[in-house]
Amino acid sequence: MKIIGWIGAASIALVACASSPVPADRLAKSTAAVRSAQETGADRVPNAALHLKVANEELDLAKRLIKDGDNRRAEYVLLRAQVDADAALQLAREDQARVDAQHTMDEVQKTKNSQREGGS
Amino acid sequence: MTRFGMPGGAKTLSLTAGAVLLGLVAGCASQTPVELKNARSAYQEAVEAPGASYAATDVYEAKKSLQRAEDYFKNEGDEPETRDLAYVAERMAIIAKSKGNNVILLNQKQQALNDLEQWKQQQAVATRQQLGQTKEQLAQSQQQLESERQARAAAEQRTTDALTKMKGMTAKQDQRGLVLTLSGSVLFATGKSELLPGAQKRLDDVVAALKEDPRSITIVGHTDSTGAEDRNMVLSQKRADAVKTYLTTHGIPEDRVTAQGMGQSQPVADNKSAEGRANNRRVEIILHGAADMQGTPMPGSGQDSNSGRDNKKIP
Repeated sequence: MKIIGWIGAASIALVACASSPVPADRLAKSTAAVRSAQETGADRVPNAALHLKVANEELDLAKRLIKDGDNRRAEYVLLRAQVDADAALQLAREDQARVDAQHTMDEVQKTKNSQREGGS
Repeated sequence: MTRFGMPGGAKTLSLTAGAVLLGLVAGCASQTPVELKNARSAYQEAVEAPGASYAATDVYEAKKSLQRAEDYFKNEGDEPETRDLAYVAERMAIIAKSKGNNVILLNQKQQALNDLEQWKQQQAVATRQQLGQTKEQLAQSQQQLESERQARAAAEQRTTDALTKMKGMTAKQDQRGLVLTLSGSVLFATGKSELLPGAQKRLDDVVAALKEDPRSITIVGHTDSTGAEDRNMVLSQKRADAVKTYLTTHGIPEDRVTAQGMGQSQPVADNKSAEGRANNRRVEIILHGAADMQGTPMPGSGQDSNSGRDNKKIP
């Protein structure tokens, strides 16, 4: 997973460099992850919405940290934002899958029942 | 207590304070951050989730992520980075568990669709079988009806053949059905309605021929124009009744037979001659066709208005 690779690289880089560069790439990826979760409808699924809200707050915090020059801390906060956004996206997908499955099972049952009633 | 020694209470207090301090130091050094505890718990849930096998790669990535957090904690202690890495590990475990659930739900949906398809196929098979049975039953019913129709036709034909061959009477087919005509002089004395002894033999032959025939029967009495019209009407009715009584007391079901007197109203020949009057004095035994069995046409109705005029000899 990309995040894992990044964690390793970031740990080395952060230890090696006293003054970290602005995590522009991480900021872009986290922002994209948040947007993707929103577009999937994560804000309409309670459990996912919570993760999305946290991701947004972390994104805002990271931007403030970058503004204050604390790029090292910002990098980790952005990582948190990204996994929260990913979690929101996945939970929203699971919810949609649950709704779809239930709807399908209900329709199947309804079809069977109507056929039985009609055939009796 | 010794001089240089610490007082017993002070010594105890000192030991206690030292133990507390050591405990605090040890506690701080080994205190696991809540994020790491949560990550461990979340990972355990992901591993034990029903869908874990469907999300093996994600579970494995979550495990690696948790291991990094554990390693960092082991090497660096409870640092902000430790908490961040643990936080990431927890989310990855949540994602892994959710992906497994997702696959289960997709499988459930697909299973429901498969069940529906299978059920539809079973329904189609059952419908085809039912249709086949219905067709078979229909064919059997039709065959039975045809057998009955043939049996009825055969019985009617036997009756017709038997009646046609009888002496002293004529059998003809007209709109009313098969009309068997018996001469009045053979059955009754002049002005009487009691059957003559010789008539009974003729009627016995008729009874034998009609017993197996399912058709309804109407017996119609006719007279010539000699005498008063109203008297002839009564006489013809009594004669028809006499024939009916004979038939029904000799084996013909009563509900199949009706009797009607027509008096002199329906002559078949000229009443001026003796031969014509003899022909007009008659009793008709009408066997109605199967189609007429529920609504037996009565003599004198529109249906038999031309009776005796368009008759055809039975072949």
